[in-house]
Amino acid sequence: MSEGTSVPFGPQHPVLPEPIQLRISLEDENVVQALPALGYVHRGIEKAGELNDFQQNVFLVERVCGICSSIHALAYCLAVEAVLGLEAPKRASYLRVVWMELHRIHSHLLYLGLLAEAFGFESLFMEFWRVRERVMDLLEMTAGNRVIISVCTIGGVRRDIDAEQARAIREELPKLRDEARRLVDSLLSDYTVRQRTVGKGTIPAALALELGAVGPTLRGSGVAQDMRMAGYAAYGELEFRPVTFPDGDTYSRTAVRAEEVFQSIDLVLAALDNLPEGDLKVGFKGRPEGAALARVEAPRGELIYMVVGNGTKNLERMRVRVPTYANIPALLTVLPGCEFADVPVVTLSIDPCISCTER
Amino acid sequence: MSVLGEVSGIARIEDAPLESLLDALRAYRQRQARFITASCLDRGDRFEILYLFDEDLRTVAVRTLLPKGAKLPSATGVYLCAFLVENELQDLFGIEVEGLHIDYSGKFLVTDTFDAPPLLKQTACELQLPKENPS
Amino acid sequence: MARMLRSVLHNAFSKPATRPFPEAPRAAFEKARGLVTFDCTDCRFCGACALKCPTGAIRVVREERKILFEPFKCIVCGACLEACRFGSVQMGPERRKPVYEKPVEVYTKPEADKPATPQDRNE
Repeated sequence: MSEGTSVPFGPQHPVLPEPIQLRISLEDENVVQALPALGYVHRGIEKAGELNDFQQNVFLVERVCGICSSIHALAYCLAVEAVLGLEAPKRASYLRVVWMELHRIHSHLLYLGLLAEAFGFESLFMEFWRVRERVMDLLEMTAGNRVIISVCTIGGVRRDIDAEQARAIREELPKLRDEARRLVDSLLSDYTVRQRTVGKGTIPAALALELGAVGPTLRGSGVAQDMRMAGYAAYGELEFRPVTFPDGDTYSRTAVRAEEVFQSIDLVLAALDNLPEGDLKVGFKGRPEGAALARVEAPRGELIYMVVGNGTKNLERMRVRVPTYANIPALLTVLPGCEFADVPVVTLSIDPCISCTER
Repeated sequence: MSVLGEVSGIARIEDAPLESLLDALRAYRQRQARFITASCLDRGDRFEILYLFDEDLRTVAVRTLLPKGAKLPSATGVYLCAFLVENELQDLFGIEVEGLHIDYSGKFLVTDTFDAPPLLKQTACELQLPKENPS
Repeated sequence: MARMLRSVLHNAFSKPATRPFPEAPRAAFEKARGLVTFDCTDCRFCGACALKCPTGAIRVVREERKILFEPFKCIVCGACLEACRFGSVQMGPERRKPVYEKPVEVYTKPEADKPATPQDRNE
């Protein structure tokens, strides 16, 4: 340690727009140790969740994350619905699937673009974001906002997708799939990309499970675990198989996300085809008393909300466990042994969302 | 104060006294349950701490009750990935965790300017909402 | 070579994916969430919108029969829209333009001589 060099990676680094510091100890060009420093932008949302009205918390938890915001709202709503003994109507469950999967598509396209940018493939970055922009347009058309779409509410959804909008989504997504396929093929088959990602930051399956990795990080190690298999919302009624790749390296994790884009497109189309008629939400009376835990699959992995109500309009406790939090130990374990030049790409390969982590 | 009863979404809650907490966690480790997180509740004179595990998409939990002022044995010897959440317990609840492998000694998330652990119930926090008409 | 030629021709003759933003902004979607405005013609000043607002952007002064709205605290969630039983809150698709100062908008009833009746209170 005393012989080596210590390099601060972050909190301001071109590859990550968000503040996390990795204190990296180097020997020559090789990383021997990495330690994280968090808390640059900690916002205390868990405490705020205890002080706010439980219905207003829906808007609060949407602001935990700037990419997968509505999935946070869904997890919170599922937890509160479980406490209140509500069940969202069928149509609401299917609409939730549509919006959550649109969110997953845009989040994964964002990641693929950022990864391309991380090793200097700027034109591919712009191509990915051009395609992503069309998903954002679909979100804005149906929900009224681009990212923080505020569609979930306790007991159902707040917006409807009418026939006209469903037709627009059905027309747009197959076109989008063709374009994304072309881009993904050029990303995954490119010689330079393979050189930069294959075999870098390898997490074996046993280690990933032991370190509690979640989401694409776990599935990229060949473990078929996806919370959507548990069948919350309408996922239980839609055909769905988790995407896995066996190698556990940066390439595998990227390939998992790329394939999930297409899987999500299929899920959106399937949900729109099977969209039942019915109410958008159920009313409720009373205040939450009791506790519930909800686990959903966010783009970065498993997201957990635990809600403890005490019969007043304020919650006793709102616990948020975000996917990046579970993936940081895996990242710290694979960084030693990497070359320093690979640190940005390997760090990005868990798709860290610091805004989630600093909730 | 009472402890949590049935929690919807958690298949089973196993109670473990503080002394045998690490043994209980070790049993889960041997069954290769995936550690999810630990969650803490301020229950007046004690803390209720839940260690959550995943067993084939089911959530199971180990609960321990920690009197305020007592030290919590660290789970990092069993599950290394618990170091993040235990540092968070130190910061946000003021719990002293003993034997933490990577210890930020209460400076993980909060800074020196915090005078009280923010997630304790007694830590007052006023919502800054406008009450009266200023005009 | 033929594939490249196709890309070259496509890029040379197709329109850019971006828009010339300040000159030609995109038309807002019909259902987009934008400007929140109040129409106090039917408003009973019950305060339901202020109660539901998660950021405290709305204040209702019953005595002076006034609604004070701080648009730059508003997160355009639409909770006030759903809370209002009298249709006094409107949301248009256009986005708010950037400004130099953050004003407080004051809305009053157009004919401010009719007294509010007690049963209008929303408890």
